[in-house]
Amino acid sequence: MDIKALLDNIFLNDMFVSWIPVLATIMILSFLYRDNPLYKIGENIFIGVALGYGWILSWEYIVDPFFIMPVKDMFVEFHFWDITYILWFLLALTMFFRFSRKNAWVANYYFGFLFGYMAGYYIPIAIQNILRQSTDLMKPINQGSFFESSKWFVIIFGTFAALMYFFFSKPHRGLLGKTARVGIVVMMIFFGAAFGSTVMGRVSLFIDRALLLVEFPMQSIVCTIAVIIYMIIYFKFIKKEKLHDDESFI
Amino acid sequence: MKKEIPILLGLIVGILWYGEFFIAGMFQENQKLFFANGMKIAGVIGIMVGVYSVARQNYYKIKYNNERYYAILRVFMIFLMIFLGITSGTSPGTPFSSMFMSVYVPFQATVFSLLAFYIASAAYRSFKAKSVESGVLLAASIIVMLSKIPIGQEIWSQIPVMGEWIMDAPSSAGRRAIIFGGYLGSITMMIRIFFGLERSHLSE
Amino acid sequence: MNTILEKLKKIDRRVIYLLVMLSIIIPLLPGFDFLIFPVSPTKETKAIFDEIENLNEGDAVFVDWAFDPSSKAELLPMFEAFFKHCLKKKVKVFIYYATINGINLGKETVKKITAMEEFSGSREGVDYINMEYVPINADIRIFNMDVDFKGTYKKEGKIFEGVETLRDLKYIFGLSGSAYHATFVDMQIRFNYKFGIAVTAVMGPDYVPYLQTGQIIGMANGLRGAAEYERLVSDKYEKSYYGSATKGMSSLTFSHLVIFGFVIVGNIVYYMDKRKRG
Repeated sequence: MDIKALLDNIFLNDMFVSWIPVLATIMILSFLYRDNPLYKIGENIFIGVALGYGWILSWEYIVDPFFIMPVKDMFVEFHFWDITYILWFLLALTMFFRFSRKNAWVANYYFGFLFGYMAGYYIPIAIQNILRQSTDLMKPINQGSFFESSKWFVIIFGTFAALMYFFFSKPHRGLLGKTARVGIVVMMIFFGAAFGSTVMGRVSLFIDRALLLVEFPMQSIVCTIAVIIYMIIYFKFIKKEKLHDDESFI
Repeated sequence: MKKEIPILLGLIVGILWYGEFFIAGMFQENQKLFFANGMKIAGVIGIMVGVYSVARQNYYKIKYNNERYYAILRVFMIFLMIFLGITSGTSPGTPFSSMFMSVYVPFQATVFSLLAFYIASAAYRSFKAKSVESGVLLAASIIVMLSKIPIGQEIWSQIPVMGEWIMDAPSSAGRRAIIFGGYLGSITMMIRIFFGLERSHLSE
Repeated sequence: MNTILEKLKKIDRRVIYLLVMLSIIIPLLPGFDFLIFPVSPTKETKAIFDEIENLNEGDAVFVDWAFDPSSKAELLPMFEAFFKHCLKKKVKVFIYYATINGINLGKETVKKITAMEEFSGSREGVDYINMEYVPINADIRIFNMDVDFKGTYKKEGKIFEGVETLRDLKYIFGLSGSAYHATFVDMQIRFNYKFGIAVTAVMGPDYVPYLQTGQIIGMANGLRGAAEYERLVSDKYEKSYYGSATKGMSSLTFSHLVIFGFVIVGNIVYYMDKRKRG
């Protein structure tokens, strides 16, 4: 039996594809009870797999096509434009100097270049966006229906009030103080809406996991029971310390 | 010299790209993709830096018995993935991809799904109407939440409309103020970088 | 009374966790299907749908896949519904992965969908293509809009016929759980492409002003957005395209009700405690 078929048998097996995800899910969920070795094992497996996966794909999609191949081509036939490759390579190599304490300044060439590039292209784009947003605020309040008009009214004055809240060159008293207070309310509504959406987002993250557990009911029940038994043994006999206050707060 | 030349380099590149805005396509002629290639090569070096730092960290952990067994497990998984990738390739339906789908995906998704529980706990412990402002926050979030769930419109048909109004009007106004602040702040920052007044990205 | 108050004040976090977990898992069990309520589409999700509906056969759509498995729960159902809709409309789909951690998830999903009997006619390189990953940032890709499209991504195929540059794309659709798409939004004014997004619910309110200025056309907000899209496609083609998002809606409802309960109880406890202390 050759090694490829053996690997296929192990990793493409129905057992592997159904048991391992469920086990992984429940191992991590055990953290909700308390930090425990099962969670730590899961965490380290995850980090290892993530790094290995990242490196292999980086080789396949970045290093091989955009570094090895061009260098090979360069040896076959040298074009004038290949000089830019070499320049870039030298520039990027300076990144390594970040590890050295004495010569960290060499990396400045790369970072200076990168930030200069960002600053150059971003300034006009940001100005364009400010103007675009300002233009959008300069529309007639009458938008047809009362519903739409009320929206525009609130947007225009709400944005103004919230901007006034960020205006620190004058003490917030009198009219400015009142406007700023409206601004705070507007901002609070934004944060409230963001929190409301966040709840939905976070809950859906677990819904995805729950769908997996429901899809494989037998596996879920067996793994849950196994993990619970392990936790009981671990916390009853091996680690008997009580919870710390900071641990129990979350 | 250690900072001046990089700043000068940044200034030149910055001016070039600033000019690109007015002379569109000045870097794209001849399909030579000067900057695109540069970013690719920088990516290659970035990976090398990452590999080096991971190797160094794990080496010390194993050598000085600092959670040694976990570090060994981690390194073993790295080598397993590399081995699978080399023997079978990375396309869908290979052991490598199967490892990704049945180990990586559930672990990462579950780690993030723990947030669902933490936000519920946070809602219980700290989501209280202590002042007018926090009362407004509470009311807005309750209405938005109700408008998001399907049962909201079964309770009262106007709830989705209210949710839409909150999202589109006051919430959008608050966000717009933040957007203005964000753009103005980043322009200031970029101009400071441009002229070398901001040097926090450069080391001594 | 006081003992109940004290108990509620010091309630163990695990009780809260358990209640949330049960409220999510129980509605998903078989036999609880009656809890699924229909969702009515919002105008943001409808905008994406209309945008695809108005395309002709053979028009090109670019999918910018910028999420990894951590936001899979919210964005993968949306991708599935969107991709099915595109295949149904017979528009060309270019799927680009902006992050390495998304590639295999994406390819497996695409493989799963195209293996379905209904879509088995669509072939890679003709009707859709996995553009895989190229290590350049979004800004560079946008600046290369007028450059040879194939050359930037080093790909070949029949699908590239009639798509010379990025400008030939009729719609760019980004899926991301971070602020990644801010670059696309910022540069939309200059390069003037049609851009739609699917975001995690956390990011939803952040993008509303851009929807109003027209820099973004269409936004699917989290799992709910995906459920709406599934419904829109199912209604239009009179066949069930309901997937995991619609299934999850019942859990979403019940977990929210439980969380409302927590907020209300938390506030009651707070006020009673405050009154007691004076």
